[in-house]
Amino acid sequence: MITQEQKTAGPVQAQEIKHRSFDRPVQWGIFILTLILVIFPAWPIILQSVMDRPLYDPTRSLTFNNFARILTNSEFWGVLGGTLLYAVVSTVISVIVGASLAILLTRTDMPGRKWFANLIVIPFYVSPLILAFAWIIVFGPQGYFTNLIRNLGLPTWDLYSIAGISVVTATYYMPYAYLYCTSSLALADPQLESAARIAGSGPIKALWSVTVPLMRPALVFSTLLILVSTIELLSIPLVLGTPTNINFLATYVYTNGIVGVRTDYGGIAVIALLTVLLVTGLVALQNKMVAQERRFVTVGGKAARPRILKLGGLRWVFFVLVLLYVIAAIVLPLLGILAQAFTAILSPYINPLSVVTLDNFSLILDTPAYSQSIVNSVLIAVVGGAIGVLFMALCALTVYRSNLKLRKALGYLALYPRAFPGIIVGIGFLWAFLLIPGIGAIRNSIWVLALAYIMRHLPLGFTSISPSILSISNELDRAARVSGATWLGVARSIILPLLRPALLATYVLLLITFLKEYAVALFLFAPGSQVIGTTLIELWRQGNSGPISALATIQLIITFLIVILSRKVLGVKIYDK
Amino acid sequence: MNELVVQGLNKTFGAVKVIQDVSFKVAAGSLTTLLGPSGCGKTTTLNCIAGLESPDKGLIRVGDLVLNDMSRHHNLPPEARQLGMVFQSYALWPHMTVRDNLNYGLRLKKVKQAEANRRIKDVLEMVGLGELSGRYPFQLSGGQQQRVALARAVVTQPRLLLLDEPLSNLDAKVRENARAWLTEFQKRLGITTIYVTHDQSEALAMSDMIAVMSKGKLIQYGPPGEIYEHPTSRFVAEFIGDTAFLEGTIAGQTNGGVVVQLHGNQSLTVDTDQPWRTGATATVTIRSERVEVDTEKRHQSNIIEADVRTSLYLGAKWQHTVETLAGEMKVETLSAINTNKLWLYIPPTAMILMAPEEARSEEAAPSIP
Ligand SMILES: Nc1ncnc2c1ncn2[C@@H]1O[C@H](COP(=O)(O)OP(=O)(O)OP(=O)(O)O)[C@@H](O)[C@H]1O
Ligand SMILES: [Mg+2]
Repeated sequence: MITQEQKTAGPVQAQEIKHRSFDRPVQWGIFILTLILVIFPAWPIILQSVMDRPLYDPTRSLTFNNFARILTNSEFWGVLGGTLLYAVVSTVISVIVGASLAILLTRTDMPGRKWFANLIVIPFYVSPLILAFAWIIVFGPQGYFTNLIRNLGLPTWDLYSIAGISVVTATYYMPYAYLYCTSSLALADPQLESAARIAGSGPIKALWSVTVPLMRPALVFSTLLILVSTIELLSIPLVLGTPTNINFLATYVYTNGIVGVRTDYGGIAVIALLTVLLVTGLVALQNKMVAQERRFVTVGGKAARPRILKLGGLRWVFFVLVLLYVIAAIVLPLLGILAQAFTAILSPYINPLSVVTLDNFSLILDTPAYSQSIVNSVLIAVVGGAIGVLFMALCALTVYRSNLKLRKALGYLALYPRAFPGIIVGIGFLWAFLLIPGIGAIRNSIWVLALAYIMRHLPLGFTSISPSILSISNELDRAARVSGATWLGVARSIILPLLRPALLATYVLLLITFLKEYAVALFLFAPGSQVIGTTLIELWRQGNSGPISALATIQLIITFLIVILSRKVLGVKIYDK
Repeated sequence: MNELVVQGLNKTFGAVKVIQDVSFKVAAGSLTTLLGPSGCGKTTTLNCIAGLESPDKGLIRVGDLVLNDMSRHHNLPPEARQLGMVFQSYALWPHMTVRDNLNYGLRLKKVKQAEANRRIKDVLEMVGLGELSGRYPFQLSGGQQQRVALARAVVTQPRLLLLDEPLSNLDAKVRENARAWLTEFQKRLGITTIYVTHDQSEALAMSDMIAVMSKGKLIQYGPPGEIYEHPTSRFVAEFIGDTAFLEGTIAGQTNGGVVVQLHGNQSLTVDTDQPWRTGATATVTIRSERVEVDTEKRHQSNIIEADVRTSLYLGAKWQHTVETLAGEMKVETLSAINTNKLWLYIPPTAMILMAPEEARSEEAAPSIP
C-alpha cells in the first residue's frame, strides 16, 4: 500500500516557498558582537605581555622576558601569597556569617527576623569604596569609635592590616552568601526535615543533618564566587592597605599601572594575564563543583511553609549577637559617613551639632568636574543599563532558544568576562583604544565606559535573565513559530513580554551595579567622563574625607531611591531567585 | 488536496537514531494517529513535520507544498509551513486573551481585521467558547484551554493539523467527551490531521489510520480494525489490547486452518489463511476478551485447562489472571467465579498465528514491502 503511494509522492512539481527572515543575521550579529566585546580588552593584554616596549611604540618587538622577570620577582610572589591569604580569610568569614544568618533568619524563631533580613543585605547596594571610607571614619586609627574606645583606656585595633581589610571585605560580600543560602533553604523541601523528625531525630539534629547539607551547593557556589570577587576587589584593599603599604594583585596592578613613574607595561600585562588565569581556574572549578553538587538539589515544587526551630531562651542570645553585628558592621559605618558628610569635622571631642554644615555638598555640586561625575554615573547606569539588558536578553535568547550552531559557545563567551577583574577590563579597553588609530574622537566619551561596563557585567545580566527564560515553556515559542512568527517575532511578541519582570529586575540590578562600578573606569576615564567612583578616589588622594562622604551620601541616596522606587512602583525583587 | 506524505524520514540526536526510515501517507481530510510507547519518537516525528526539528534525511510534503526535502537541503522554517498545532501543555500565551491568542496567527498572515474577527468568532463558537474571548488563559479550565488551543490551531485555516497528546492533561471523564467531540470537529472541518498519543483506546476510537511506532521505526500502518484484528507482530498485539502468547508447534492441517500442539499436551485449532508447515514452531496470539470461560466444559475442542491465580473486580466485569500448562493469560467474566479450576474455550477465529521471529519482539520488520 505504501509502496504505491511512494511512487506518486515522488516527482510531483512541488511548490516551494523561498523563505527569508532576519533571524539568522540577528543571531550571528549577537554572537559576533559578544565575541568582539570579550576579545576587545583581552587581546592587547596578551599582546603586551610578549612585547618589550609599550604597544604604542612602533619599535616594540617580541620577547618572553616579561614572564621571566615577573615570575622571578619575589615581590610578585609576596603579593600573590598575601592576596590568597586575604581572599581565603575574607571568604571564610563572609560565608560562615552569611550561612548562619540565613539559618537564623529563615528557620528559627529569633526575634526581629524581618527587620534584620532587610538590614543585613544593605552592603549589597553600597559600593565597596564607600564601605571602606565608612569604616575608616568609624573604625580607622583616628575613627570616631576607635577614639571613643581609646579614651576609655581600652586596647584598639588596626584597621589598616590584612585582618582589618579582610573583615571589611567579608562584611561587603556577606550578603551574597546570605542570599544564596536563603534561597537554597527556601527551595529545600520541608518534608525532608519532617522525614528526619519521624525517623527519630530532634529538631536541631534534623536541621543540622538534613537541611544544612542541602545548603552545600549554595555554600560551594558562594564560597567560590566570593573568593573570585575578593581577588578582583580593588577598592577596600586600596583604601585600607595603602597607608601601610599592603599590596594585593588588584592594587598592585593599579598602583604600578597608573601611578608608577616609569610604567612597566609588559610586567603589568603579565600580572593581569596571570590574574585572569587564576580566576579562570577558580571559575572553572566553581562550575565543576556546582555540576557535581546537583545531587543535593531538591525539587521542592510547591513552596511549603518551612519548619521553624524553637530556640527557647537562646533566641535572645542570638538576637543580641545579630544586633551587635548589624550595628557594628552596617549601621555605624553608614551613620558615620552621613555624619561626616554633614559636619565640618567629626570627632568625639566636638559636639557634631556645633559643626553642622552643607559645605561638603556645595563643594561637590559647585565643582563642575565633580558634579559632572554624578551626571555621568547616572547616565551610564540608566542608558547603558537599558542597552545592556536588551543585549543580555537577546544573548540569552540566542543561547537558550535558537538553533544557531554556535549557541553553546555563545553561552560560554557570555560568561567569560567573569574571569576579568574590573581593573583589567579597564586596562584592556584603554590599551585597545591606544592601538586602534582614529578612535580618539570617542575615547573621551562616557559611552566607552558604558561599553566596558556592559562587557564586564555581561555574566551578571546573563545569569540573572537565564533562569526566567528557562522557566518559560518552549512550547510557547513553538506554538508561535507554527502560527507563522519568525524567531525575532516570537522574541518580540511572546518571550520578551513574558520576561518583563525578569528584565526589570535585571535592569535594576544593572543600575545599582553600574552606579557602584569604579574599577573599570579608573583606567578608562578621561577629563569629562569621570564617574562617581573615580571622583571618590581622586578626593581620597587629596585626603578630603568631608567631600568624599558627601559624594558617597549622594550615591547612597540615588541607589536607595532606585531600590525603593523599583520595589514600590514596579514591584521588582532583585535577588528573589 | 492536502494529503501528507512522509518519506524516508531519519533523525538522530547525537549518536542515537530517534527516527529510522519512517514513511507514511495521510489522505486529505483524514486523521492518522501516531501510536507507540513513551520515547518511541512520536513527538520527534511530529516536530519534524512542524519544522521544529530538522530531520537528517527524508521528504515531507503537504499537497503541493514541500516542507522538507533533505536531499536538496530544503527545510522550511516552521513559520512558513502553514500548519496548525496543539501542544501537550496547550501553550496558550499567558499574557494574551483568548481572542489575542487566536488573532496572533491571523495578524501574521495579514488577514484583514474584519475577516479575522469573523473567523475568530466562528471558530470560538464552534468550540463552544463564544463568550470567553476576553478571558486570559489562567481564567479557563483545563478542558476550555484545550479547546482554545484547538481553536487557535485551526483559525488560520492550516493545511495540516498536528496534535501532540492534546487530551493527556484532562481528567478521565472530560477526556472521553473530548475524544468524541474532537473527532467530530475534525470531520466537520475536513482537515488533514496527525494525532499523537500513547493511549491505544484513544487511537482506536478516533483514527482513520494508525501508525504504530516503536524505537523510532514504523511497525505497522493500517486502519484501526486491521491493527486490532490483524497485528503483524507481537509488539503490536501486545501494545494494543490484553494479549496472551502461547508457544506451540504445528501438529496438522485442517480445513482452513492448522492444529497447534501446545505445551502440556493440549492442542488448539486455529483458522489461518497462511500456509503453515507441519512441525514448524509458532506462537498463538489470543485476545483476552475473545476467550470464553467455560466452567462446565460444554465445548469439546479448543479447550484448555487453567488455574485461577488472581481475580480483579473491575465494575462491569471481572478480570482473572489464569495459568495454563502452556503459559499465563488474562480472561474476563461478567460475574464472579468460585472455582479454582476453569476451562477456557478459544474460538478458532479468535487467534492469530505468528512465526517465532515475527513474534519475538518489536524488532520485527515493519509490514511495508
Ligand atoms: N533534543 C533531544 N536530544 C536528545 N535526545 C532527544 C531529544 N529529544 C528527544 N530525544 C530522544 O528521542 C527519543 C524520542 O523522543 P520523543 O519525544 O519523540 O518521544 P515520544 O514518542 O514523543 O515519547 P512520549 O510519549 O514520552 O512523549 C527519546 O528517546 C528521547 O529521549
Ligand atoms: Mg511526546
